[in-house]
Amino acid sequence: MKNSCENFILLLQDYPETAIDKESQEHLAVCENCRKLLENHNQSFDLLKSQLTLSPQKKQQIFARIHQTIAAEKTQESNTPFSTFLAWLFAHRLQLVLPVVILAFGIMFFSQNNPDSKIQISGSAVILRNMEKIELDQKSLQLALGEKISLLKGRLNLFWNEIETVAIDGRLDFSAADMSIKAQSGEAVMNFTPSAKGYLIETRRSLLKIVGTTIKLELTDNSDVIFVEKGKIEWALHDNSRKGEAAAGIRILIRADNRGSLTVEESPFAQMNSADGAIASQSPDPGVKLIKSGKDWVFQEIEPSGAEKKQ
Amino acid sequence: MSYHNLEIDTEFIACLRRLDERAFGKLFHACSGLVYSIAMGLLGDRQAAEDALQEIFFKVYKALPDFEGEKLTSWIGRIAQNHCFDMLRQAKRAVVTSVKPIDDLDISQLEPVSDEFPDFLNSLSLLEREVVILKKVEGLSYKEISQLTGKKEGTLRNIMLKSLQLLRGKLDEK
Ligand SMILES: [Zn+2]
Repeated sequence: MKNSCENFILLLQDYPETAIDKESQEHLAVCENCRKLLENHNQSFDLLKSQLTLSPQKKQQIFARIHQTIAAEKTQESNTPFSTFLAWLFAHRLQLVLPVVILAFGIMFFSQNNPDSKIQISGSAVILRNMEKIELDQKSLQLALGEKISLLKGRLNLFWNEIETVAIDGRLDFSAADMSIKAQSGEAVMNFTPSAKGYLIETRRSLLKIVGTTIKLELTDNSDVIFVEKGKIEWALHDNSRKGEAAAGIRILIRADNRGSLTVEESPFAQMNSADGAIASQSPDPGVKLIKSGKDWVFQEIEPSGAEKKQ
Repeated sequence: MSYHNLEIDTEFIACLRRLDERAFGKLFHACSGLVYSIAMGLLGDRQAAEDALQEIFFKVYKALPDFEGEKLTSWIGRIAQNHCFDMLRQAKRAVVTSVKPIDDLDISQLEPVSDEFPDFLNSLSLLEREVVILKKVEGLSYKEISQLTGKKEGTLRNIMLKSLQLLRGKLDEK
């Protein structure tokens, strides 16, 4: 191999950051081998680049899964503060002060996390639980807090401590916990009873606070669409960058673009027939607001009224 | 490439360290291509690389509060590389009944063949293939690749030259 061919291949080590100099251009004009090498180099790496590029949809999907893992871990952590705390106490040989601290901590703990809370579903629906297809057929089924369920078709009623809180109609991947429902994807109408006041719905992109509401959700990889059929909701993006209130007849569209940044549009829509599956809706409750305090979402009372509100 | 100027923004780094969700989203969209390239280079399989991408960013998320102002790109790149090495060791352990300690298994000895890559890349070791991808697909400088892989710049240039010679060799065969 000629010297100038060797110089050319050395130049390719840094190409395209380093441009092809005059000397090499002159060499290329007379050397077919190096011309072929350059052509093949460009073709091979262009092809490789396209093969190693993830589609925006795929990226979005993977990011959503990461988000889910993070959220699941957070839930797990917050579900076991008591045991973690006990472990910490024993690790620090603080058994002596234990009774006092348990008392104080117990008050905090039980006020946040009702140990008796039970979640049950029933109705006429087909669900997927632990990869197993189950036909509910009016049977009642107990769910664990945070357990993932897919409603495949039909309508199910969700009971929290034996009080019906919501009827879900359609197709929805979700999990239920104390006062909250995490909705992953699907399309469903959710009819909340008045007892569900203060319930939170968490989608991948937003938090919705229920104030005696019927809503319809259309959750996909790239967007959340929320139709407020009745009542009112308060909504907020997870990063709290945008939030607002939407009354009946308003459609909220939260859309993620290729780079994952979100746009929110609110627009009116034609409502469903109100006779269809209507559950009594209450007048909107103006007394509580959803605000973000540090990493947590809290309800802040605007005017002291509702006796049923609990923190 | 979009991740090249991430480092400069100290406020962005501060947001990341306190796990601001928006900043983490930005980081993912800026660096997921790089991480995916590393995973593909080392694992040679799309599904495995996608799973790795997910797991790596979860690790990144957990490690972010402890991130000390070094280069963000090479820090993430190293997490990605170590994660893939772990996956390869596990896969190798599953097929090889070796009495050697796991850490002695040499990544460069692992079979690099994947139908996702042109022939000349399959003739390289896994680490060599990763280096070529980082240089030619991700456009990293030799200095950046050196920070990421721990290899000297001279070694990296030799790897690049070797891959170009292999490419030229394939042309001569035709
Ligand atoms: Zn030549």
